[in-house]
Amino acid sequence: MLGTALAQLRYGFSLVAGRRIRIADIEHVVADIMATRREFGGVGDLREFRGTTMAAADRKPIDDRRIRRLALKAYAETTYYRRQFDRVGMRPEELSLSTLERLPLTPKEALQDLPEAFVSRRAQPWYRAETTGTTGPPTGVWFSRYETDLMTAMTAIAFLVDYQLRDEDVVQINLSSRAFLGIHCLVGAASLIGAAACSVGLVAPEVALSRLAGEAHLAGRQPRPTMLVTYSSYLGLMVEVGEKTGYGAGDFGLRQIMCGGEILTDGLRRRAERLFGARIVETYGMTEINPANGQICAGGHLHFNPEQGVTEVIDLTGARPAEPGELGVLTFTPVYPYRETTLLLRLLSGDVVRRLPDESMHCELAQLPATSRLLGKHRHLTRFAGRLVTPRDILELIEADPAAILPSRWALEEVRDGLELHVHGDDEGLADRLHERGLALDLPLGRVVVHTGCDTMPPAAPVRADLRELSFAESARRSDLEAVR
Amino acid sequence: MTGLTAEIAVLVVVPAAAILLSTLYFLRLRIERPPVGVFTLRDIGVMMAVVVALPVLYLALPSFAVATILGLMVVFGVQLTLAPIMTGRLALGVAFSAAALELTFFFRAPDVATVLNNLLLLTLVVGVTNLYVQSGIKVRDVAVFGALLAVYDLVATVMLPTMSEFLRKTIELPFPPVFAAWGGPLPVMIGLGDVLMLTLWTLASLKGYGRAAGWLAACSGLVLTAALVAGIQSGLLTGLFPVTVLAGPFMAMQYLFWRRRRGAEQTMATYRGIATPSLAAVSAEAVDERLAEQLLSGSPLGRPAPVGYSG
Repeated sequence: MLGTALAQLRYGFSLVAGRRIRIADIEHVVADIMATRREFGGVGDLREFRGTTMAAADRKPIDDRRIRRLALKAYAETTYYRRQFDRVGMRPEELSLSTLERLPLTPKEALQDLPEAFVSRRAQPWYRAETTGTTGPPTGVWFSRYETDLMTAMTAIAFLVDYQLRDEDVVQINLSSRAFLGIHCLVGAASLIGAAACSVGLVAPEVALSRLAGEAHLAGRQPRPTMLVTYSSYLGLMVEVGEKTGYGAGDFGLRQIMCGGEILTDGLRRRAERLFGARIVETYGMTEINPANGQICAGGHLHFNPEQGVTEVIDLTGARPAEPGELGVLTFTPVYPYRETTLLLRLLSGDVVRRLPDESMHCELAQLPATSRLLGKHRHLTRFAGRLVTPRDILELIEADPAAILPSRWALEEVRDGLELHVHGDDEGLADRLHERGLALDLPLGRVVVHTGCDTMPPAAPVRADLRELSFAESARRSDLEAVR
Repeated sequence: MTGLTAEIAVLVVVPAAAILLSTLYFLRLRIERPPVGVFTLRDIGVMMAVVVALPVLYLALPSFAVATILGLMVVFGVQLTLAPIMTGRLALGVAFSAAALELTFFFRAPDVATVLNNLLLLTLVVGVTNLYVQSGIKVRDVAVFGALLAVYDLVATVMLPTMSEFLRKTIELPFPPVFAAWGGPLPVMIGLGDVLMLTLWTLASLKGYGRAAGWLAACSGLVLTAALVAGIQSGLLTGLFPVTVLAGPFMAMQYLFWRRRRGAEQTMATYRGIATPSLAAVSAEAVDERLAEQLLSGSPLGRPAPVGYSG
């Protein structure tokens, strides 16, 4: 009891004073939450673990101090920001929440081109995480061992608070094997709780489904995976194959599915919940901003914890903050002590969201600043006749149809009387249904064309499910085909 | 009040009332506890350090400071007990008013102040013991604490003058940490710590090993204090006698008895009948059975050995 209070006090003090967090303190809290659960069958109100309950005005001096400290560090220890501050004639000690706009945005391309220009000279880089590069070239981000351990411990807290993970649970991870850092943290977090984990990878969906449905007898463990971690598109692929194969909720032991990395539509959520009989929890994260991440509440808002960094929504021109109700691009400044190696100030993520009216939230995370859910990538927006169409608009439209093939493959082309939507599908009435519903949703759709194969379609944006890892047999088959061609 | 009546009242009725009221409170009311954290042996270590340091500190401090600390302790203890019954602020108001009343009587009618102090301490015992037990303190932890206190009390009360000096100093002040009654030229007293331990032991036993253990703990505690009355009456016991010197080993023995008889003590969740989710996790025996079935049904064992390894 006293040890718990002390660990929490030290953790809080680290945040306020801007000192390195003792990983042992977070691990202590993890162990205490487990012990509390064992003793009482549950824990009390853990709102404080989800993020600050301080009002923005009260937080301002703390945030200003942390931004100034980060700016001083970035100026003194990174090549990129020394030049950037000098170029705009700004002294790092001038940087605060109110002057943040004077500092130019950091485009993702700058980080992609030379990640080492963002690495603190005083840090001890341990691992260079590569993004999967589904929507662009992969980006390398350097992390220290401390940051990785912190991410692991924080993931464990999230597992306990948001997913009520227990030591008998089994976590199945269906992420790209290249996402080593994420997998490392997930497996490490499960181990802190005492749960088991298996990284299955982005294998053939039939294999992933049989792993979920198959029993593995281990003492003290649930016989089947109870939690699945995957990308939205791969979840879609599993749903598609699972429905066709005749799987049902009774075949699985899943309680929850942690899904992120891409847009998760309501249609996919419904179909996945029906197939797996599990709760779907949508997440938002980026390698570049780790360990900061977003939480999606029941009200459908994307919340960010200000303790982990500053989140801005910049309008689509990149010139000014987006107005409430306006679309904008998420921009992140991860702060010390969560980030010490790759220092980033105002990193333009390319992810588009809608800024919410300031007083519009009454959800369980209302104390945290929020935006709309992810609407898509900036470069995937389509404008027609003054109407801006986001990837989410199209995905929600397609995946709301129970006959849609998952993951959705689609492309938009501009024609004379509107946008032409090309969709992969095999249902006769799909085109008409999508067209009709699209018009009802005020989407400027001129025509919907359904393709029974992807090869006849205009190029569609890739999805993470495309990062499929091949078996030896599949690989040999592909090599044979290429040889024939 | 005769000497015997005062002895029974203080040494038997007070602990019995504390045990009864605390148990009723435990069965009916929920005290607010931190969302995360349970009592561990480390906490017992810290509590023991405080127990050792406090009398020395009290002896070093001026009387005014000691009385203030004792008064605040009573106020917060009473507030803690009353908070689940009324609002926290109202409970604090009641606690402060009661303490102010005791202070007033201390100067004008000391006998009334003694009665009031007994009542406030009784209220404090109910809250504090419930806080510990409802925060998940284990029977093992209380037994270890009792055993450590027995050794400490033997040293500090019997071998060293610490406790008698501490008692001499605090008995003259408002809010003395003892239950007292006058039955002759000298008051009969039982320490707050002794009553706390007897009550805590009963509640922890009830939570950890059920009703029978609770009854045994309560009865053994009361038999012990009744034996002290007999000891005083027969002239065997004179002067200060620390109750925990006897109660501590009793607690340790009872813990060992229940542990041997019933195994691991139950958690608060089990005591309250809160179903802990899951537990569909497979036991080691079931796993062994299922794997053996699979082996015998031919899966891995039935496979032919690779060529060259068949012996």
